[in-house]
Amino acid sequence: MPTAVQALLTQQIKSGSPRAYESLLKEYGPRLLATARRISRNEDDAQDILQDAMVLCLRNVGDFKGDSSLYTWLHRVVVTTALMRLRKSKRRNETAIEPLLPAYFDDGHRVGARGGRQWADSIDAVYQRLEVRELVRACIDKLPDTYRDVIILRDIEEMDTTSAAGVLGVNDGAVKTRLHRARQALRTLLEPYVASERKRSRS
Amino acid sequence: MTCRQLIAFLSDYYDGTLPVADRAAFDQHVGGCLECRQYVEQFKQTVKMVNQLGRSCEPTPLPGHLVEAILKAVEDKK
Repeated sequence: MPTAVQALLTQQIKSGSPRAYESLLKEYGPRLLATARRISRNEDDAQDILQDAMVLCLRNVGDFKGDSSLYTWLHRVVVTTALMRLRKSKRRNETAIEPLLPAYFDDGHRVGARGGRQWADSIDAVYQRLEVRELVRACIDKLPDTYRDVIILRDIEEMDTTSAAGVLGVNDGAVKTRLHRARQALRTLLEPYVASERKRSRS
Repeated sequence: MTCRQLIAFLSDYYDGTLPVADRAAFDQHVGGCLECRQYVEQFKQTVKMVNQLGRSCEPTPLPGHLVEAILKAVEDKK
């Protein structure tokens, strides 16, 4: 949406115009519902998340200062609402991530590096299968909560480091550290499945 | 640069935030270390698969009942 149109829409929303509310939902609702679906993976929950987030946004539209796009602001509220619901719906996973990270010998070589299996030649081909997408998501859900949340924000929703830090209430450095650990741990969790994909694709 | 140092730099390398000098050392190590080459490739594939999850769920128009419910909830709370 062009900036001028966005500014006008924001102004109309701030003045409480129901038609402006509808325009906003028509313009941004589909993308925001897709975000809620990706995080919650449940249609009813996704719709509840969107409803809660939109009501919050429309009632507090005065908080929108225009220093980001309107969509960025709405997206951030939807993501925050969805993560809060995700945390409530599942038993907290606060297990240590260290067992999923690489271990090293004193000389800096990685333990188990020799004899490691290669992954599938074409990850794109492998990824097209729905079961693989489900597998990747299931592995993300196995990560301790703080790592799962950061990978959802940075690598699924593609928020920048500072925005993700704002949602999580931590500093940029913590986001970077957690993301790096989350990615390594996810590689470890995926390895048994993806390495065997190669054998399967060749059979 | 050791294998351990290289892996510590991986996210910065992938995200394009690794300083040029470190990037050169990184490339040099990867060029001569089969194990790290394999690890780097697997790391990239992991992140790529997660990125692709972000492209799942095509946006679709909101169901009418949801729009109505949102508008009603906003009105009710005014």
